[in-house]
Amino acid sequence: MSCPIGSHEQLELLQAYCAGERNTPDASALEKHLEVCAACRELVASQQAVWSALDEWKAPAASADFDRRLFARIEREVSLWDRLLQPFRPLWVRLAVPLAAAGCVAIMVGIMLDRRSVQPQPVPAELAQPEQIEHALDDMQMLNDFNAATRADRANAKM
Amino acid sequence: MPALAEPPRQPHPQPPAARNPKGAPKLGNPGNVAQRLLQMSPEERERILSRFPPERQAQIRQRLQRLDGLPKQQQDRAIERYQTFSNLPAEKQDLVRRQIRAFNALPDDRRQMVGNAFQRLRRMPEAERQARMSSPAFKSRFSPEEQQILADLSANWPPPR
Repeated sequence: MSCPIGSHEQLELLQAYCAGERNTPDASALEKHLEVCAACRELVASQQAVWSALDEWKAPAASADFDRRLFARIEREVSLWDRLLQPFRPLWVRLAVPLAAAGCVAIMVGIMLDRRSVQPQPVPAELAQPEQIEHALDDMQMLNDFNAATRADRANAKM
Repeated sequence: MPALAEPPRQPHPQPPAARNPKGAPKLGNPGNVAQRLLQMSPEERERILSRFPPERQAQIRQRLQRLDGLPKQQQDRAIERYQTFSNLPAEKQDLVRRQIRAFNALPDDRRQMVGNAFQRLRRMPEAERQARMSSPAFKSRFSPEEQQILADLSANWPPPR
């Protein structure tokens, strides 16, 4: 086995060995290498010292009022903008629903009034557009011709 | 049996003011104006027409002259017929226009047959009309295009009251 210190992949094997993974084929080969390599033995010793220290460390217990102090701190760190708006928020909530309802009613009334306003109504002749008058006269002539054609044919044909 | 190519559906052109009444004078039913023009004295009519561009005046005068030539009784009936037509929904107006154009495009002999059938069918109750149009005799007498003309016009263009 070549020296793990010179190879990134082999170095990871050495670190895994230090972390406790020792029941692998690589571990037995590594142990044979450690017998002859002082640098690797030193590295393993230092790594094992770190792991031992971590194993011995006990996390301190949280104090009884930890949660209360945490939330109090979060409350203190609310942004300045949020704090400025805070007094007005209840007012917005109270007014939002009635304002939205009034807006909907106003829109519906507007639509209804608009629909009523476009109903055909008699208008002064002066306001009519010439194109519209032409179309109306064309329709009148078309209907008259059609009526005349079907009347004239009536006496001469069978269904 | 002559083949009738049904003309493509083309909505009757409307002037911009009729398509978008917002922001323009409320024109209402221009047919009312056309009827009133027909019934006006020549002086009143000229007073109205003088407000339009000259080429438009000429177009309207030309159309009015054709209707002016009718006897008074026929003119009144033409106005009444147009009132019935203008009370139809826009889509039915388009359908009637389209099928009248298709009718006018028929050869003379077929137009005679279809015109006669139309006058009878339009006076029948709905059920009887449907039964007649479903009969083998009817289907053998008229082409599919003619049957469509008769079905659309007899259902949507009511007889005079």
